[in-house]
Amino acid sequence: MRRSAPLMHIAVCALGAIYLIFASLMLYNWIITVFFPTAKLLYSICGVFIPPDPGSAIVLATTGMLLAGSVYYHYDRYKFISCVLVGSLLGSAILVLQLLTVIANAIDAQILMLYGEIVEYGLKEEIMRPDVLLGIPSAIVLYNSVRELRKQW
Amino acid sequence: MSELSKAKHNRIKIALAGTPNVGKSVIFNNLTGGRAWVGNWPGTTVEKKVGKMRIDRQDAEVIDLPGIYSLTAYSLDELIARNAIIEEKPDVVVNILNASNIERSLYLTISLLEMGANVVVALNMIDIARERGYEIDVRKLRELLGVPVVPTIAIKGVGIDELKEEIKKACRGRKTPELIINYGDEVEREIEKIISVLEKDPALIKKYNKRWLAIKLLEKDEDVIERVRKSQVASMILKQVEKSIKTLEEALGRDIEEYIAEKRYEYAFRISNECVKVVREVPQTPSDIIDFAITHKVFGIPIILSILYMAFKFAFDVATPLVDLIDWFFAAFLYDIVKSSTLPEVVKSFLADGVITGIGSILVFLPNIVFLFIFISLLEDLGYMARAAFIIDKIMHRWGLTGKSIIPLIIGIGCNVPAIIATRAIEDENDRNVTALVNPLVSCSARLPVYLVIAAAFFVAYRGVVVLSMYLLGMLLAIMMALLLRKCVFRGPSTGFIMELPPYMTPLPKNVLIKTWERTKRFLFKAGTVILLATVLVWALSVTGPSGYIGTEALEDPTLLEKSWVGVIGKTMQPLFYPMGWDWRAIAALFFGFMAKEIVVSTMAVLYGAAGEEELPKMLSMAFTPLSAYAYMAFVLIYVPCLATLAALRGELGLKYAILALIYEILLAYLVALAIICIGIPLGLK
Repeated sequence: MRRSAPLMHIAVCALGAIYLIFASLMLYNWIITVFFPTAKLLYSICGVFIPPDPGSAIVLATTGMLLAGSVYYHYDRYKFISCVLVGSLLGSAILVLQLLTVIANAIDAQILMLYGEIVEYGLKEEIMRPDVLLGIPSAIVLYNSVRELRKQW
Repeated sequence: MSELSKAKHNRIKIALAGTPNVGKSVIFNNLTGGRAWVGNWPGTTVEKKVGKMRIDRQDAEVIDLPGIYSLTAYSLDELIARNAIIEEKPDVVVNILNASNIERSLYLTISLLEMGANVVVALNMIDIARERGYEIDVRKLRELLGVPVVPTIAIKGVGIDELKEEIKKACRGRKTPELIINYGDEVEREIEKIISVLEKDPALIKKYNKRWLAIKLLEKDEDVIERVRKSQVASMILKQVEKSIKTLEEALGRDIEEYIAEKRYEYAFRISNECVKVVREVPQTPSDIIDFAITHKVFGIPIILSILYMAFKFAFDVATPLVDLIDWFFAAFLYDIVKSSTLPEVVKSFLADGVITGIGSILVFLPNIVFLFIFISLLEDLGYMARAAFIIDKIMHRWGLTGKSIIPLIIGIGCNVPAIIATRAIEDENDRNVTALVNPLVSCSARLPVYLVIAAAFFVAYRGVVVLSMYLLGMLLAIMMALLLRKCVFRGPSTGFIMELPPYMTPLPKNVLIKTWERTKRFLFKAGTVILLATVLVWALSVTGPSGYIGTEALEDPTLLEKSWVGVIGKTMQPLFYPMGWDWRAIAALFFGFMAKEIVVSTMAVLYGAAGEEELPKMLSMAFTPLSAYAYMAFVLIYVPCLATLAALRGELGLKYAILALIYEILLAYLVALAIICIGIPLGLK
């Protein structure tokens, strides 16, 4: 475990940095949408859609801050675990929430179609979002940090 | 006559007492099956929760006392709990102890035993105590306290059957031996002297435990002194008390009240020392580890914002299918049935355009409200809300405000009325007044339907953020106003705030659902009463005018509607809101929203002739611009507290302050809405 610790630190820090980058892009898109409607949006990067969603950006930024910031506490095992655990928990929670939203939207589309409305529903855009895609490695980190915490108990 | 047969004549009463966050509500639900009815404590408007349990084939009343640390007369909660034990004389007091912090919980147990209450101790969270490396000698604790002690893990239902059994035994007649703490020879001598004077009034010592009464008098307990003043020998008693206090303070060289409290803590420490062994050194518990990040000075606030955003996302996005189903039921199914019926035109319009449209436009948000309350209840049971209060307290304290304001402000997110009542727990009068006065600025669930309708019309892509911004704006304004009131009106130092963070716990679905139901019930009740009546009123004022009955056509013809009473009200007020550019119908909705904020939506639904959840946003998108709609949302957030809130303010602070709240909120709402327009336009926002 001790040998793999620096590797863990680097991986968590890198994940945190990616979270922060996507949070910034989401905020950028939102600012463009609200204040400069004529400017060009950064619609997607490598197939990942960047929604102009400041709420998700807050969650992504917080997750990124916690994961990247955990490295600052590398000297203290508990403080490091605390930041990683809470950060990955947030990352996983927003993943679950987005998946629930996808399911709800799918059900909603069916309901609306039942009473004759034409519904445009973009499943790909709902799934290929940074909060969903980054949520997967976050969930793995969460699993590992919970296991790590349990080892102490 | 046995105790049980006596109890057959007078219903058995069981009171639950314990420190906050000790699992009292979970034990209450375990004992009563979650069935409770809510009333008020005598002479107060503080909520009293009572449930029922079966003991030997008869019903027993289970009373949930407020969460307290001791039984002094300093805070309303403690006074209520104490008076409940004195006045209602419960057959058994179930004292719930936090096994992971037994020393702190024992102070209340000692206070209860000194009062002479028939106590059964539930040693809750025994699993957490073990996790923390503590081993508790339950038999020893039982011996030292002289009462039954049942280890429980309430959240898992462990030990509840044994607890019920002990309660039954206690009801059948077992009496707790009176606890006598030796306060030292000098104090004991003075206690004896006071008792000898108290014995001159048999009625007094029949009602109260005489030793407890003597100690409380020595502690200068104002409530007890007031009770003693009613005695025929009051002057004799109070003279002796005064003499005793003087003698003791001279002899001890310190305040007697402080000395007695210290002796109780010493006693609690001794018991704890004898019963609790540290079998394993645990450097940090999982709760401590998690708390490092959760309560971190940098991460704490972003975590709160993230969690709040997720709460709104869960409430709005995940609840969408249910919202559409309810909308279909009201706007298509019921509306069409009534419209296609053979009823007279006036009755059809009254039912379809008035009742169904008005009530439907509110009930359609029921899933959002239920989902939001589920999330909040989950956070509460998990132990996160206490952490959020702790983090916000740090900021409040820096601004010279008391952290005690946090709890009422957080309660205000549900409803401002209980939140204003909850300010009674704040001892300092200035702090209490300020917290009550700014509480209506906290966005309650009644404003939610207004935000949702406007967000659906203009901010579909990020409605969660727009609604979150309203909640943050409300909190920010509340803090700013509190600061202003503290500096200008209620000057003086702010009191400190001590808060115990409970360990994190897995929320119990049953508890979460019970809490959600209790909160949702209010919304449903309001929909069936105030909102229904207001909707009928709005409909009636829309089809009539100064010239008499206009006809139901007014609801479909804007020119006719302008001639109705609603039109007159809206048109008269319109010049005032000229800078905001709001439609007269939206202004008329504000007028009716004074009764309850949800009525703003039901009124708009009637006035814009929108039958469904989707139709109203469409209509509004024609009447507002995104900027003026956002200003409207802010205005609804801030302007006049609803009638019930105003009544609560009047009840707590008096008419003068209720009027002050009314005036400052109208002015503030106007200024904020105007500022949004004035700042937004130069920024290029429409």
